[in-house]
Amino acid sequence: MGFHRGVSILSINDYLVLFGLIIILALAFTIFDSTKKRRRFRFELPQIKTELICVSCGLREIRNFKEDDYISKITDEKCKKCGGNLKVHLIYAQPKREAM
Amino acid sequence: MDIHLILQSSFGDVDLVTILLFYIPFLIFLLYGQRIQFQMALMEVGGMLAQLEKMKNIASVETLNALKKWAKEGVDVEKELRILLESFMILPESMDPAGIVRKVEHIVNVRDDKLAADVKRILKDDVDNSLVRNLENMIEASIALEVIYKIIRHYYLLAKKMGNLMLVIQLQMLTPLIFNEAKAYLSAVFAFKLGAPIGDSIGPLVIHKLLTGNECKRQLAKDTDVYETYIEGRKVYLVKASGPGGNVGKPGEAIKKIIEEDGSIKGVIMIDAALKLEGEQSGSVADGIGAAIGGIGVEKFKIEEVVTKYNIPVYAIIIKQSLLEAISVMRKEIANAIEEVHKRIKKIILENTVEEDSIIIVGVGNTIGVP
Repeated sequence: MGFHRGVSILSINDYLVLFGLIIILALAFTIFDSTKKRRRFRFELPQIKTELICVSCGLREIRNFKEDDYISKITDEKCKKCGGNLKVHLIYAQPKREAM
Repeated sequence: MDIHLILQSSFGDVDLVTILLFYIPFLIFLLYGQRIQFQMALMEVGGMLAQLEKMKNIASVETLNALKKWAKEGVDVEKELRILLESFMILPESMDPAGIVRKVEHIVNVRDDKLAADVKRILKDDVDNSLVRNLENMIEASIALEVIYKIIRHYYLLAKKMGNLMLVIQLQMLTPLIFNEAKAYLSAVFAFKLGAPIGDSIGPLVIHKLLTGNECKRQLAKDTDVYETYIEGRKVYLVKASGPGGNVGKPGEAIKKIIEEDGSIKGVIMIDAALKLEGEQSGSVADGIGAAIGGIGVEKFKIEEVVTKYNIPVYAIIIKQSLLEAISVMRKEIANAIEEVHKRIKKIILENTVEEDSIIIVGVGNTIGVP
């Protein structure tokens, strides 16, 4: 690197080395980018929630989904407030970060 | 002449290593640029292909395990599943399109019946019909993944064999979209395994939530329930596929029979899940005109034929969602749309019919998890 009146001046040599390095970096980045795409697949099951409603008092309860749940199924669970039967009102998925 | 003198006269005070470092990459890119691009694209598509293979393997293993759980003793489930996954359907010739809908319907019916019979043959006799339907749906999602994988593999290997850059570039552009579709089918496999409602079940769910339990129920077409009730003084026929097994029924056939049976139908309201455009909110509701129904087109054709013949208006209410949301377990924002859809149904009924009129409301979609 040369100096001219107190200001650093890059020589042609330095420019060429810099340019060569940029090309090598760009190539490395492209290779890294395409290998990253190879590793990208990730499959996560969402949290599935079942919303139950008491057929007597209308109290709502939310719990995790059980495999034989379907809409309007009268479950064998009882309402915490009145002891009435609980019916499946809704079944829905929540992304993991929103799940309770 | 001395090489150093030549270099000095051409490049000034620059050493040989720097010159090589600068010019060699240029020469490489100039001469082999296309080949490098081809290899890079091929590597990317290859990576995607490996992921697609992983997805289709997960789907087939899940389906195999679900089948094994309910299979008859002595049945080679793995072999039977392999045969089903390799099965295909040839659509009729469309060179002379007259009457093609009937031909397509026939082929699709035969294919559905064959798949149902094949699955039942594997399973124990006492297996519930809903479960059989869910397993059929699991197999169909696995077939879709199998087909996607095979097609992408075909073009990948072809491009590799031919050294065809254009082919591999097209694949590189398409694979992210195809990858998303494959991901949707994989989540469908899990949703059908669990028997939970999927995004597409919103149509049947809207109808189910209109029922009070006192309605008269009939089955007017294969796997399709029709309930008769009254809303705002109008006689209403509620149509949905028979649940809670995964099933889409034959809504077109049911609508046709109702219209031919009841001469006072003043409108048909169709509720269905529709693919949203990027940027649109999932679970948002829109209404319009026309037969809101997807699939291969047979049911849509039948509905359009009959409503045109009897000059009956068709209203559509759609619940927007992505393909992934439509075939994976229903998200809360989609389930929350039910109330809004009920409001829109009431509005359409009040604005377009008078008391004593009859109207048909159809919940289109897969009724998994919705009885």
